[in-house]
Amino acid sequence: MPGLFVSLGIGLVFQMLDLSTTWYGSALGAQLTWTLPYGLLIMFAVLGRFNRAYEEAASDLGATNWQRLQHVTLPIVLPGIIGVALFGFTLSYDEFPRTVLTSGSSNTLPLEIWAMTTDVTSPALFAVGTVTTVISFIVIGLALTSIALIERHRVRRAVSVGKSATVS
Amino acid sequence: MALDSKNGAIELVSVTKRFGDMVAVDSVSLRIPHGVYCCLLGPSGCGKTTILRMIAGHETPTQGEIRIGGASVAGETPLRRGTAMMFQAYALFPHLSVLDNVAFSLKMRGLDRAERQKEARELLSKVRLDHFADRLPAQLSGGQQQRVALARALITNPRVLLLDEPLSALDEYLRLRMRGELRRMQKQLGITFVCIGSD
Repeated sequence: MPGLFVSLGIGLVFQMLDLSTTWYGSALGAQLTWTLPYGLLIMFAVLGRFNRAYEEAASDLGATNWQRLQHVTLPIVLPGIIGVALFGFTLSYDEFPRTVLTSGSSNTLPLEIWAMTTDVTSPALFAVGTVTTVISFIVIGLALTSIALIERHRVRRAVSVGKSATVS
Repeated sequence: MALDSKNGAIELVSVTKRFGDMVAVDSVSLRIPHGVYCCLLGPSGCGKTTILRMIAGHETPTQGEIRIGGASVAGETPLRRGTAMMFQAYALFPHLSVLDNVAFSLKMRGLDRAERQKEARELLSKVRLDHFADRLPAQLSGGQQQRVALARALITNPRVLLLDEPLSALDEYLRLRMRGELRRMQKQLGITFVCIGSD
Protein backbone atom coordinates (compact mmCIF):
# COMPACT_ATOMS: atom_id res chain seq x y z
CA MET A 1 0.00 0.00 0.00
CA PRO A 2 2.32 2.77 -1.21
CA GLY A 3 -0.35 5.37 -0.60
CA LEU A 4 -0.05 4.76 3.11
CA PHE A 5 3.68 5.49 3.02
CA VAL A 6 3.10 8.79 1.24
CA SER A 7 0.52 9.59 3.87
CA LEU A 8 2.96 8.63 6.64
CA GLY A 9 5.73 10.75 5.13
CA ILE A 10 3.59 13.84 4.67
CA GLY A 11 2.07 13.40 8.12
CA LEU A 12 5.53 13.14 9.71
CA VAL A 13 6.88 16.17 7.86
CA PHE A 14 3.89 18.22 9.00
CA GLN A 15 4.47 17.07 12.57
CA MET A 16 8.20 17.89 12.45
CA LEU A 17 7.43 21.35 11.10
CA ASP A 18 4.86 21.75 13.84
CA LEU A 19 2.01 22.26 11.38
CA SER A 20 -1.45 20.86 12.02
CA THR A 21 -2.71 18.33 9.47
CA THR A 22 -6.08 19.15 7.94
CA TRP A 23 -8.25 17.54 5.27
CA TYR A 24 -8.15 20.70 3.15
CA GLY A 25 -4.37 21.15 3.54
CA SER A 26 -2.11 18.17 4.01
CA ALA A 27 -4.71 15.59 2.90
CA LEU A 28 -5.44 17.56 -0.25
CA GLY A 29 -1.70 17.70 -0.94
CA ALA A 30 -1.35 13.95 -0.38
CA GLN A 31 -4.21 13.32 -2.80
CA LEU A 32 -2.66 15.62 -5.37
CA THR A 33 0.55 13.53 -5.38
CA TRP A 34 -1.68 10.79 -6.76
CA THR A 35 -4.18 12.60 -9.01
CA LEU A 36 -2.05 15.47 -10.37
CA PRO A 37 0.28 13.28 -12.50
CA TYR A 38 -2.71 11.61 -14.14
CA GLY A 39 -4.49 14.90 -14.66
CA LEU A 40 -1.34 16.42 -16.15
CA LEU A 41 -0.92 13.46 -18.49
CA ILE A 42 -4.46 13.77 -19.82
CA MET A 43 -4.16 17.55 -20.14
CA PHE A 44 -1.02 17.06 -22.24
CA ALA A 45 -3.04 14.87 -24.59
CA VAL A 46 -5.95 17.34 -24.65
CA LEU A 47 -3.74 20.36 -25.33
CA GLY A 48 -1.62 18.39 -27.79
CA ARG A 49 -4.70 17.95 -29.93
CA PHE A 50 -5.61 21.64 -29.61
CA ASN A 51 -4.80 23.54 -32.77
CA ARG A 52 -2.94 26.77 -32.00
CA ALA A 53 -4.37 28.31 -35.17
CA TYR A 54 -7.68 28.79 -33.29
CA GLU A 55 -5.92 31.12 -30.85
CA GLU A 56 -4.20 32.99 -33.64
CA ALA A 57 -7.47 33.37 -35.49
CA ALA A 58 -9.03 34.81 -32.32
CA SER A 59 -6.24 37.37 -31.90
CA ASP A 60 -6.46 38.17 -35.58
CA LEU A 61 -10.14 39.01 -35.10
CA GLY A 62 -9.33 41.42 -32.29
CA ALA A 63 -9.77 39.28 -29.20
CA THR A 64 -7.72 40.24 -26.14
CA ASN A 65 -5.80 37.47 -24.38
CA TRP A 66 -8.54 37.10 -21.81
CA GLN A 67 -11.33 37.04 -24.43
CA ARG A 68 -9.37 34.47 -26.40
CA LEU A 69 -9.16 32.19 -23.36
CA GLN A 70 -12.81 32.72 -22.46
CA HIS A 71 -14.43 32.41 -25.89
CA VAL A 72 -12.10 30.08 -27.79
CA THR A 73 -9.57 28.06 -25.79
CA LEU A 74 -11.68 27.07 -22.80
CA PRO A 75 -14.84 26.06 -24.73
CA ILE A 76 -12.78 23.89 -27.08
CA VAL A 77 -10.85 22.05 -24.35
CA LEU A 78 -13.76 21.96 -21.87
CA PRO A 79 -14.74 18.31 -22.52
CA GLY A 80 -11.15 17.33 -21.72
CA ILE A 81 -11.17 19.35 -18.52
CA ILE A 82 -14.44 17.74 -17.40
CA GLY A 83 -12.93 14.34 -18.17
CA VAL A 84 -9.89 15.15 -16.07
CA ALA A 85 -12.10 16.31 -13.20
CA LEU A 86 -14.24 13.15 -13.22
CA PHE A 87 -11.23 10.88 -13.53
CA GLY A 88 -9.38 12.72 -10.77
CA PHE A 89 -12.37 12.48 -8.48
CA THR A 90 -12.71 8.73 -9.04
CA LEU A 91 -9.02 8.16 -8.40
CA SER A 92 -9.03 10.29 -5.29
CA TYR A 93 -12.24 8.84 -3.87
CA ASP A 94 -10.78 5.37 -4.12
CA GLU A 95 -7.43 6.26 -2.57
CA PHE A 96 -8.20 6.73 1.11
CA PRO A 97 -4.81 5.38 2.39
CA ARG A 98 -3.20 8.69 1.41
CA THR A 99 -5.62 10.54 3.63
CA VAL A 100 -5.37 8.28 6.71
CA LEU A 101 -2.48 10.05 8.41
CA THR A 102 -2.91 13.49 6.89
CA SER A 103 -6.54 14.43 7.37
CA GLY A 104 -6.17 15.75 10.92
CA SER A 105 -9.04 15.79 13.36
CA SER A 106 -11.99 15.43 10.98
CA ASN A 107 -12.52 12.52 8.60
CA THR A 108 -13.19 12.58 4.89
CA LEU A 109 -16.12 10.53 3.59
CA PRO A 110 -14.05 7.56 2.35
CA LEU A 111 -12.26 7.45 5.72
CA GLU A 112 -15.59 7.55 7.50
CA ILE A 113 -16.91 4.70 5.37
CA TRP A 114 -13.78 2.70 5.99
CA ALA A 115 -14.13 3.20 9.73
CA MET A 116 -17.76 2.10 9.53
CA THR A 117 -16.87 -1.17 7.80
CA THR A 118 -15.19 -2.29 11.02
CA ASP A 119 -18.47 -1.74 12.81
CA VAL A 120 -20.95 -3.75 10.72
CA THR A 121 -23.87 -3.25 13.05
CA SER A 122 -24.22 0.42 12.14
CA PRO A 123 -27.00 1.02 9.59
CA ALA A 124 -25.38 4.36 8.70
CA LEU A 125 -22.90 2.44 6.54
CA PHE A 126 -25.70 1.14 4.33
CA ALA A 127 -27.33 4.56 4.21
CA VAL A 128 -24.07 6.17 3.08
CA GLY A 129 -23.52 3.35 0.58
CA THR A 130 -26.98 3.87 -0.87
CA VAL A 131 -26.55 7.63 -1.13
CA THR A 132 -23.17 7.30 -2.88
CA THR A 133 -24.49 4.71 -5.32
CA VAL A 134 -27.59 6.74 -6.14
CA ILE A 135 -25.56 9.91 -6.67
CA SER A 136 -23.13 8.01 -8.91
CA PHE A 137 -25.99 6.69 -11.01
CA ILE A 138 -27.50 10.16 -11.29
CA VAL A 139 -24.16 11.60 -12.47
CA ILE A 140 -23.72 8.78 -15.01
CA GLY A 141 -27.30 9.20 -16.21
CA LEU A 142 -26.90 12.97 -16.57
CA ALA A 143 -23.69 12.57 -18.55
CA LEU A 144 -25.20 10.00 -20.90
CA THR A 145 -28.44 11.91 -21.51
CA SER A 146 -26.63 15.20 -22.15
CA ILE A 147 -24.37 13.49 -24.69
CA ALA A 148 -27.42 11.89 -26.35
CA LEU A 149 -29.26 15.23 -26.39
CA ILE A 150 -26.34 17.07 -27.97
CA GLU A 151 -26.02 14.35 -30.62
CA ARG A 152 -29.73 14.44 -31.46
CA HIS A 153 -29.74 18.23 -31.56
CA ARG A 154 -26.85 18.18 -34.03
CA VAL A 155 -28.40 15.50 -36.24
CA ARG A 156 -31.74 17.31 -36.34
CA ARG A 157 -30.07 20.56 -37.22
CA ALA A 158 -28.08 18.87 -39.99
CA VAL A 159 -31.21 17.20 -41.39
CA SER A 160 -33.32 20.37 -41.39
CA VAL A 161 -30.53 22.35 -43.03
CA GLY A 162 -29.99 19.56 -45.55
CA LYS A 163 -33.67 19.74 -46.55
CA SER A 164 -33.63 23.48 -47.04
CA ALA A 165 -30.46 23.14 -49.09
CA THR A 166 -31.99 20.66 -51.51
CA VAL A 167 -35.04 22.88 -51.96
CA SER A 168 -33.06 26.00 -52.82
CA MET B 1 -7.60 52.43 -36.33
CA ALA B 2 -4.26 53.19 -37.88
CA LEU B 3 -3.37 56.45 -39.60
CA ASP B 4 -4.89 55.86 -43.00
CA SER B 5 -7.45 53.10 -42.70
CA LYS B 6 -8.13 53.02 -46.43
CA ASN B 7 -4.62 52.67 -47.77
CA GLY B 8 -3.53 49.06 -47.93
CA ALA B 9 -0.13 49.53 -49.53
CA ILE B 10 2.43 47.24 -47.92
CA GLU B 11 6.14 47.89 -47.71
CA LEU B 12 8.78 45.57 -46.31
CA VAL B 13 12.12 47.24 -45.64
CA SER B 14 14.93 44.64 -45.48
CA VAL B 15 12.96 42.39 -43.18
CA THR B 16 14.85 39.52 -41.60
CA LYS B 17 13.45 36.79 -39.41
CA ARG B 18 15.57 34.31 -37.52
CA PHE B 19 14.34 31.36 -35.48
CA GLY B 20 17.37 30.61 -33.33
CA ASP B 21 20.20 29.91 -35.78
CA MET B 22 17.92 29.36 -38.72
CA VAL B 23 17.28 32.27 -41.03
CA ALA B 24 13.71 31.99 -42.30
CA VAL B 25 13.54 35.32 -44.14
CA ASP B 26 16.76 37.02 -45.22
CA SER B 27 16.47 40.82 -45.66
CA VAL B 28 13.48 40.88 -47.94
CA SER B 29 12.40 44.22 -49.36
CA LEU B 30 9.07 44.30 -51.06
CA ARG B 31 6.52 46.85 -52.12
CA ILE B 32 2.90 45.89 -52.72
CA PRO B 33 0.72 48.77 -53.97
CA HIS B 34 -2.75 49.34 -52.61
CA GLY B 35 -5.64 47.41 -54.10
CA VAL B 36 -3.77 44.68 -55.93
CA TYR B 37 -4.01 40.92 -55.82
CA CYS B 38 -0.48 39.85 -55.00
CA CYS B 39 0.69 36.26 -54.88
CA LEU B 40 3.85 35.01 -53.19
CA LEU B 41 4.96 31.80 -54.81
CA GLY B 42 7.72 29.39 -53.96
CA PRO B 43 8.50 25.93 -52.67
CA SER B 44 7.43 25.04 -49.14
CA GLY B 45 9.88 26.16 -46.47
CA CYS B 46 11.14 29.18 -48.38
CA GLY B 47 9.68 31.65 -45.88
CA LYS B 48 6.55 32.92 -47.58
CA THR B 49 4.30 31.92 -44.67
CA THR B 50 6.68 33.71 -42.29
CA ILE B 51 6.45 36.87 -44.40
CA LEU B 52 2.67 36.66 -44.35
CA ARG B 53 2.60 36.08 -40.60
CA MET B 54 4.90 39.06 -40.04
CA ILE B 55 2.61 41.30 -42.09
CA ALA B 56 -0.32 40.00 -40.04
CA GLY B 57 1.46 40.64 -36.74
CA HIS B 58 1.60 37.03 -35.58
CA GLU B 59 5.38 37.08 -35.86
CA THR B 60 7.80 39.91 -35.09
CA PRO B 61 10.63 40.62 -37.53
CA THR B 62 14.10 40.19 -36.08
CA GLN B 63 15.29 43.13 -38.17
CA GLY B 64 13.74 45.56 -40.59
CA GLU B 65 10.43 47.31 -40.74
CA ILE B 66 6.96 46.67 -42.09
CA ARG B 67 4.84 49.59 -43.22
CA ILE B 68 1.20 49.48 -44.12
CA GLY B 69 -0.37 52.57 -45.65
CA GLY B 70 2.95 54.37 -45.25
CA ALA B 71 3.21 53.99 -41.47
CA SER B 72 5.22 51.48 -39.47
CA VAL B 73 3.05 48.86 -37.79
CA ALA B 74 5.67 47.53 -35.36
CA GLY B 75 4.01 46.30 -32.18
CA GLU B 76 0.46 46.87 -33.41
CA THR B 77 -2.27 44.24 -33.08
CA PRO B 78 -3.71 42.68 -36.27
CA LEU B 79 -6.91 44.68 -35.84
CA ARG B 80 -5.09 48.00 -35.55
CA ARG B 81 -2.95 47.11 -38.54
CA GLY B 82 -6.12 46.74 -40.57
CA THR B 83 -5.10 43.29 -41.70
CA ALA B 84 -7.17 40.14 -41.59
CA MET B 85 -5.89 36.66 -42.16
CA MET B 86 -7.51 33.64 -43.71
CA PHE B 87 -5.73 30.68 -42.20
CA GLN B 88 -4.61 27.52 -43.86
CA ALA B 89 -7.27 24.90 -43.06
CA TYR B 90 -9.36 27.97 -42.09
CA ALA B 91 -9.24 27.53 -38.27
CA LEU B 92 -13.00 28.05 -37.97
CA PHE B 93 -14.02 27.77 -34.31
CA PRO B 94 -15.53 24.27 -34.12
CA HIS B 95 -17.87 25.03 -31.20
CA LEU B 96 -19.52 28.05 -32.81
CA SER B 97 -22.14 28.14 -35.56
CA VAL B 98 -21.29 29.64 -38.93
CA LEU B 99 -23.07 32.85 -37.95
CA ASP B 100 -21.25 33.13 -34.62
CA ASN B 101 -17.94 32.44 -36.35
CA VAL B 102 -18.51 35.34 -38.71
CA ALA B 103 -19.79 37.58 -35.90
CA PHE B 104 -16.87 36.71 -33.58
CA SER B 105 -14.90 39.90 -34.16
CA LEU B 106 -17.98 42.05 -33.54
CA LYS B 107 -18.67 40.19 -30.32
CA MET B 108 -15.13 40.90 -29.14
CA ARG B 109 -15.75 44.57 -29.89
CA GLY B 110 -18.83 44.44 -27.68
CA LEU B 111 -21.61 44.92 -30.23
CA ASP B 112 -24.97 43.63 -29.06
CA ARG B 113 -26.37 40.39 -30.35
CA ALA B 114 -28.96 41.69 -32.83
CA GLU B 115 -26.58 44.17 -34.39
CA ARG B 116 -23.70 41.74 -34.88
CA GLN B 117 -25.96 39.00 -36.23
CA LYS B 118 -27.46 41.39 -38.76
CA GLU B 119 -24.05 42.41 -39.98
CA ALA B 120 -22.81 38.82 -40.08
CA ARG B 121 -25.86 37.72 -42.07
CA GLU B 122 -25.24 40.44 -44.63
CA LEU B 123 -21.69 39.25 -45.12
CA LEU B 124 -22.79 35.61 -45.27
CA SER B 125 -25.21 36.43 -48.05
CA LYS B 126 -22.34 38.10 -49.90
CA VAL B 127 -20.53 34.75 -49.98
CA ARG B 128 -23.91 33.05 -50.64
CA LEU B 129 -24.00 31.02 -47.43
CA ASP B 130 -26.84 32.72 -45.54
CA HIS B 131 -28.92 29.53 -45.52
CA PHE B 132 -26.14 27.70 -43.65
CA ALA B 133 -25.91 30.27 -40.84
CA ASP B 134 -26.95 27.85 -38.07
CA ARG B 135 -24.70 24.98 -39.04
CA LEU B 136 -21.47 24.04 -37.34
CA PRO B 137 -18.30 24.30 -39.44
CA ALA B 138 -17.86 20.51 -39.38
CA GLN B 139 -21.15 20.17 -41.29
CA LEU B 140 -19.89 22.16 -44.26
CA SER B 141 -17.81 21.09 -47.24
CA GLY B 142 -14.30 22.41 -47.75
CA GLY B 143 -15.35 25.07 -50.22
CA GLN B 144 -18.15 26.28 -47.95
CA GLN B 145 -15.79 26.40 -44.96
CA GLN B 146 -13.49 28.56 -46.98
CA ARG B 147 -16.24 31.02 -47.78
CA VAL B 148 -17.10 31.20 -44.08
CA ALA B 149 -13.44 31.91 -43.32
CA LEU B 150 -13.49 34.64 -45.95
CA ALA B 151 -16.60 36.23 -44.45
CA ARG B 152 -15.15 35.99 -40.95
CA ALA B 153 -11.98 37.77 -42.04
CA LEU B 154 -13.81 40.46 -44.01
CA ILE B 155 -16.10 41.48 -41.16
CA THR B 156 -13.24 43.45 -39.59
CA ASN B 157 -13.26 45.74 -42.67
CA PRO B 158 -9.58 45.13 -43.35
CA ARG B 159 -7.50 47.12 -45.80
CA VAL B 160 -5.31 44.07 -46.36
CA LEU B 161 -6.47 40.47 -46.57
CA LEU B 162 -3.80 37.84 -46.08
CA LEU B 163 -4.52 34.38 -47.45
CA ASP B 164 -2.39 31.44 -46.34
CA GLU B 165 -2.55 28.79 -49.08
CA PRO B 166 -6.26 29.36 -49.66
CA LEU B 167 -6.61 26.78 -52.39
CA SER B 168 -4.43 23.94 -51.14
CA ALA B 169 -7.23 22.04 -49.39
CA LEU B 170 -9.60 22.09 -52.39
CA ASP B 171 -9.95 19.78 -55.36
CA GLU B 172 -9.13 20.89 -58.90
CA TYR B 173 -12.67 21.96 -59.80
CA LEU B 174 -13.25 23.99 -56.63
CA ARG B 175 -9.79 25.47 -56.89
CA LEU B 176 -10.60 27.07 -60.23
CA ARG B 177 -13.92 28.34 -58.98
CA MET B 178 -12.56 29.75 -55.72
CA ARG B 179 -9.71 31.45 -57.56
CA GLY B 180 -12.26 33.28 -59.68
CA GLU B 181 -14.39 34.06 -56.67
CA LEU B 182 -11.49 35.48 -54.67
CA ARG B 183 -10.46 37.64 -57.61
CA ARG B 184 -14.01 38.92 -58.00
CA MET B 185 -14.18 39.66 -54.26
CA GLN B 186 -10.90 41.54 -54.37
CA LYS B 187 -12.05 43.71 -57.29
CA GLN B 188 -15.36 44.40 -55.61
CA LEU B 189 -13.81 45.41 -52.28
CA GLY B 190 -10.82 47.21 -53.74
CA ILE B 191 -8.52 46.17 -50.90
CA THR B 192 -5.09 44.53 -51.06
CA PHE B 193 -5.03 40.74 -51.20
CA VAL B 194 -1.77 38.98 -50.41
CA CYS B 195 -1.97 35.32 -51.17
CA ILE B 196 0.58 32.55 -50.87
CA GLY B 197 0.54 29.29 -52.76
CA SER B 198 2.98 26.48 -53.29
CA ASP B 199 1.98 25.84 -56.87
